[in-house]
Amino acid sequence: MLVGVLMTAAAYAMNPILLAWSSQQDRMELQRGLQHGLEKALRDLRPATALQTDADDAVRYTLWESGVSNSYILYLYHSSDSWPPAYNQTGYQLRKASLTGGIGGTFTYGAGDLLVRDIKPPPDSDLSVSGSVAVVDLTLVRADETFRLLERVKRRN
Amino acid sequence: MGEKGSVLLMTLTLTILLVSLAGGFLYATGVFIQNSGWEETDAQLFWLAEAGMQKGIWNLKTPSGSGGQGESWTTAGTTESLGDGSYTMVVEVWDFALSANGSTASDSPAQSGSSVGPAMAVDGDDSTYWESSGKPKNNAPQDLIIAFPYPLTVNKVRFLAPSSSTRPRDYTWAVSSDGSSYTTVVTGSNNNSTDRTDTFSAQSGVTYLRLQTTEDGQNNPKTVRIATLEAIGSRITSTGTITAGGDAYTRTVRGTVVTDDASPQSQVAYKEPDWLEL
Repeated sequence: MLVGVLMTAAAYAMNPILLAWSSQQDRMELQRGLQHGLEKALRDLRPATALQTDADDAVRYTLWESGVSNSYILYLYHSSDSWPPAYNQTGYQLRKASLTGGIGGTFTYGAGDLLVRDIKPPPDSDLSVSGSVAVVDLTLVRADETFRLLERVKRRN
Repeated sequence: MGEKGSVLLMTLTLTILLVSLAGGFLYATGVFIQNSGWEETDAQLFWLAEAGMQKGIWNLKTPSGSGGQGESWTTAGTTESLGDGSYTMVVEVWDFALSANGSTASDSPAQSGSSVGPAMAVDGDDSTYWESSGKPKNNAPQDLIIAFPYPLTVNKVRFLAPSSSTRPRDYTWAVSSDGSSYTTVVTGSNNNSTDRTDTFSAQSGVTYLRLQTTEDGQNNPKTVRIATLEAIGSRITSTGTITAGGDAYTRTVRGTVVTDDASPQSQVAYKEPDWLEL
């Protein structure tokens, strides 16, 4: 009888520990995923020859690639939203898409490489440009876990 | 089970719980410390590489008499320590006009023979050459034109003629941003050299570089020939290194620069728009 009570108490006490472990695991995965995606974005923004903010919380930039000037946009995408986004959904994706017609050109909303998932929309997250500095401020949320990374990167070209 | 047995069992259970709890926190803390360590090392590596880039630029624009190395400096690898790590600078002479670096060449009037076409002047091979379509004269100049892949700053150019008789004797170097309106930056008269480097005040926003010849070496052959045409700068490759736990971690950045170390007043470095991380 006593053994049964003790085992139940032990299991009850172990539960929050296991939940805490699981939570830490989620946070680590969240952190790794965010850092990985952010690093991809930053490695693009650093060698940019031009940066331009977009009124819809996006960053447009131009790269010299093998003697050719190509322009891209970093933007937040959700399948239930449209361009320009209303940002009324949860769990946006950070995407990188090619621009047609230079840095002020057009792109297909939803196109491009997926860099990071589960991003909270603005104002919790922010993609903007101030002079030659791009600001990438992303808040991720998955289940009950939230993680925020903010990077400012100055273009080198 | 007696009273002593129950106490022992409770003690064991509590011990297991506490050890599990402590183990969980240690594990989580360890992972976070490791992640933070990686982030810090990654940032340190990047800025070490950037420091090497800046030091390389400073060396190029500062004459050796003033502590630098001067604008003609090259190195296969110079390493200096900084903070927790080091950076290694590799500095090479860089020819912006080279076709392998994205430039293209054309001529006017156009040469019809492809084996002596304008591309031969920027192919990196001194044994091939461009030959003008006719004899250069004041009223019939022969132009060799380079189109760069992006606007850059130019202050030093060079041509190499395969022989004295085909060298540009009277010539001009000119630069342009649009390929139609040119600014003359060098005028050469009675040149006797087949391998000539000219320097001039730095011109920015240069997309086109033109070598215009109005008189060649002599009347036979009645053409001007250019084996190599160069717009000269330097390329710096800098690698930041940190050694931890017996392993070396690195990040490498690269960029080109045009420098002038002529005098303290004009020590300038123009970074070209091709910085990249390797």
